[in-house]
Order: sequence, then structure tokens, then C-alpha cells
Amino acid sequence: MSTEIDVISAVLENKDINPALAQNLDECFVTHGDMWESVKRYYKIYGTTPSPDKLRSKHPEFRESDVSGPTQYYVDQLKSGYLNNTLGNLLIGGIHDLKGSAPSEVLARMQKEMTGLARLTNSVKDLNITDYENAGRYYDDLRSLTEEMGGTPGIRTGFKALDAAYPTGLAPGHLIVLIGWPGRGKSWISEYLMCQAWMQGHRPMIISLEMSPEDMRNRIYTLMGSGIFRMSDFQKGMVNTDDFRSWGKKTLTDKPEFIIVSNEGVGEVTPDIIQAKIDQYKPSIVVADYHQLLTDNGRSKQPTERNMNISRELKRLALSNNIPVIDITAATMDDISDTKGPPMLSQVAWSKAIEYDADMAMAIHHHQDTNLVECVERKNRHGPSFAFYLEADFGRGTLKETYGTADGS
Amino acid sequence: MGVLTYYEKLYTQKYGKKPVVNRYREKWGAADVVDSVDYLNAKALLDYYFTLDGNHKNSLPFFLQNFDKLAVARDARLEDDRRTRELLEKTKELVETEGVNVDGD
Repeated sequence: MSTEIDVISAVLENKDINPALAQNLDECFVTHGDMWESVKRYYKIYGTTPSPDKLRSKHPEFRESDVSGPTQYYVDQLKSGYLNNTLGNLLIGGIHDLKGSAPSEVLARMQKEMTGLARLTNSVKDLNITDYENAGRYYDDLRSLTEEMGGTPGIRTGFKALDAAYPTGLAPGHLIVLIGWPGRGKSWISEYLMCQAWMQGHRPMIISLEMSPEDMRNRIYTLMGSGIFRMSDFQKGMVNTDDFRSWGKKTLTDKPEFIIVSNEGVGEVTPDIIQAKIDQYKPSIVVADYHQLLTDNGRSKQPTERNMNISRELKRLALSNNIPVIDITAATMDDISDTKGPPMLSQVAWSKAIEYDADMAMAIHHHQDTNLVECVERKNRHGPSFAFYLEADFGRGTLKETYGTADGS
Repeated sequence: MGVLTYYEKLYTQKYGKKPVVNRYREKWGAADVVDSVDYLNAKALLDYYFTLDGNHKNSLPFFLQNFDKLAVARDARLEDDRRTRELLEKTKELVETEGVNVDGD
């Protein structure tokens, strides 16, 4: 059985495609490239790998091999085998070429091909932008993915303004930062985004370090119900359980998992621990709620250093797992802080790290004594600046997008 | 109305009681504020100061020692409000250009 089939089988068996995606393995698939493309495409659309039967429905010739190790093992085997064959062919070709070409020409040709092969010996991704054929293939793939995803290559947010101004959607590898003063709607908005992702068939995971998982579940059910439930009823257990079960059966059955991870307020949670949870649940999008309650992998003592490290480590999580990560962060309050409006980037102590790491940063501010939530762009690497308001009913889980101002003008 | 009197008025409006102000000592600080930003701006800064809810509890000494930082924070807020109003217009246009119904329906 070929090592290409071993990798595909391991990816399907372990439901773990990231070691293969992270290594730029495409050129190593010589005989089963079409199957590998199908697996990647399925993962990009549905956020999980297909079952062997699902893959067989498209490629009847697929027969999974008996794999028992981690995906990384089979990825290494495939890379090693491919390098071995290609390098051997290159050397034999070089000897043959020497008979008819000048040594300097042969050397130049071999150097060029060896440089290409060197890509497979490290995990740094190289891109030669003069290779327009490669770029064309990338755009073809991206266009096809965009069409299959309903208009964006990433997860749509459900906010018209955001979907227009952030045309990639919440795309793999992106770090999205939601900034706000404490208690001004950051978590609620992130939960709304997760519900949108879930409704599109993705598998969200929320790392909740502030709220108990049950409280967060109440809010998410309220949001999913879009007006059917009252948050306060869930909090008091005042729900008709027959009606609730009926709703749950209709709404939640045969849908992707929606995972809430909580430390119940005790124990340190680091990006390494989040990685372990990503390995366990294979989410297609992750929310870290929230930044200040995380500990960096190096357990730095200085708050600014710790928070800058966390920002960088969350970005790495997004890139290495090929998923979007949403980082919720509270602005840094001092006596001069004007908390009547959304915080500016300069009001976050580690704003430089956000400027470097975030693909998009948005300030969120629920104006007190109103139902208005202001959402303002603070950084957008993939589109224009934007601002919009939400008329939100937190108790009912409904909202409406508007473009007026807090004072009604 | 002098700066100190205006301060007392705003404090009384917000907290429902008159503040304890050592006028003999604070008049020098108030004069410095007026010298630095002029009388009307000093009053405008006091208006802004009383919209904030920090640990300072709107004390007069804090204002006199930090009026320059408050002016910077107020100007940043005003600039950000202006930017947001501009972005709301642009975003509405963007959404309309993208062919999306902006009424939330």
C-alpha cells in the first residue's frame, strides 16, 4: 500500500489533517493527488475530515490502509519517501545530463531543483511570487472554495458590514481580536459569531475562563433560539422541558459539535492547553474568552510581556492549526480612561502586539442604559475600516444591524 | 463663575452634595489651569472630567494635577467619535454597494 494512501488513511482515521496541511505536502501526492485534494476541500468547507465512505463515494478506488500511529508519522514517511525518490532521480538525471551539457549548466539546474526540494525539509513556507502558474492554481482553488462556502473563503460573520469590510470571512490562520471595556458585550458578540459559524456547519470551541460552561450554554441557547427563549428563564430553570427537548431535537440533532471548555475559574490555561483541546475536539474556529485570564506558555511574570506572548501564541495556534482564533481582550483601565465609548487600540497595554499579530481588531461597546452596541474597526488587514451598530436584545438573543449613531443622529 | 465655583456646581449636580474644597490652596492650581488652557477650555475640561468614573471620584486635586492628560484623552475621544461617524457613513455605502439590504431584514 502506498505511503500516500497511508497519509490519507491516517488523516481520516485520526481526524487530524493539520500535520499534513502544515507541511505543504501537495507535491508529494503523485498518484493520489485527486483524493488528497478532495479531502482538503471537504475539510475547508465542513471543518472536519470526511469519513472513508464519504471519500469512497467520490473516489470508488479508495481503500484505506491499516494505520495505527499519529498522522505526523505517516506525513514524515511520505516526505522521506518522496525526497528519496526525487533526489535519486535528480542525481541520476544529473549524471545523464553531464554527458551532453556543460557541468556549470548541470550544476545550476540541479541547484534549482534541490532548492525546491529543500522546502520539504523544513516547516517554513516559501512562495516565489514570480511563479504565476502556481499563483493561478491557488486562485482557482480559492475561487472554487469561495463559491462553495457561499461567497467568502472563511466563515461568514452574519453581520453585513463585517462581511462586506472583511471579505475573507473568519478565515483559517486569522487572529481576530475583540477589544472592549469590562462587561460591554465582547463575549456576547463572540458567542453570536460562534452561533453563526455553527449554523454554517462549522464546529466552534469556546475557551471560557470567565463564565461557567452552564451560564455560557444558557446564552448560546438564547442566541440560537433568536427570540424563542428568555435568558432569564434558562437562568432560573423556568423552561418547559418538553418544548425545550423538542426544540433541541429539531435544532441540535445531527449538527456539528459546539464545545465549551472551562477551567471553572481554577487552574491555569495556556495556549499549549488550548492546543491540546484543539487536538481533542478538532474545532473549526476557537474563541479565547478572555485574554487576561490566560497564562502564556512561558509563564511570564510581567503582565505586558505575558499578554504580548499570549497574543503571539494565539496567532501561532491559528496558523499551525489552520483555523481562525478569536481573542477577546479587555482594554486597560486607568483613572484617565474614558469608558463611555469604545476603547481605542492605544488603550490596550500590549497594543503593539495586536498591531503585529491581529488580522482584524474590533472594539465593541454596549452603551449603558441603551440597547445599542457599537462595533468599530481598530485594525483590518484584509479590507477597509468600518463601523456599525447593533440594536441588541440580550435577554432574547436577537439583534438588528444599523448605521445610526449612539445619540440617534 | 470661576473655575472653582464651576467645579463645585458640577460636583454637587453629580453627587448631590457640596465638595470640600480648600479654596485658599486650590486657587493657585485653578489659576494654572486657566493660564494653560484659558477659562472656557478649563470649564469644558471640567465638563468632560465629570463624565468619567475613575477611582479619583472627580476630586479637585486630581483634576488640577491631570488636566493636561484629561485634555489629551478628551481630544482623542472626540477624534474617535468623528472617525466613527465617518466610518458609519462609509460602511453603509459599502454594504449598499455590495448589494446587501442594510435594514437588517
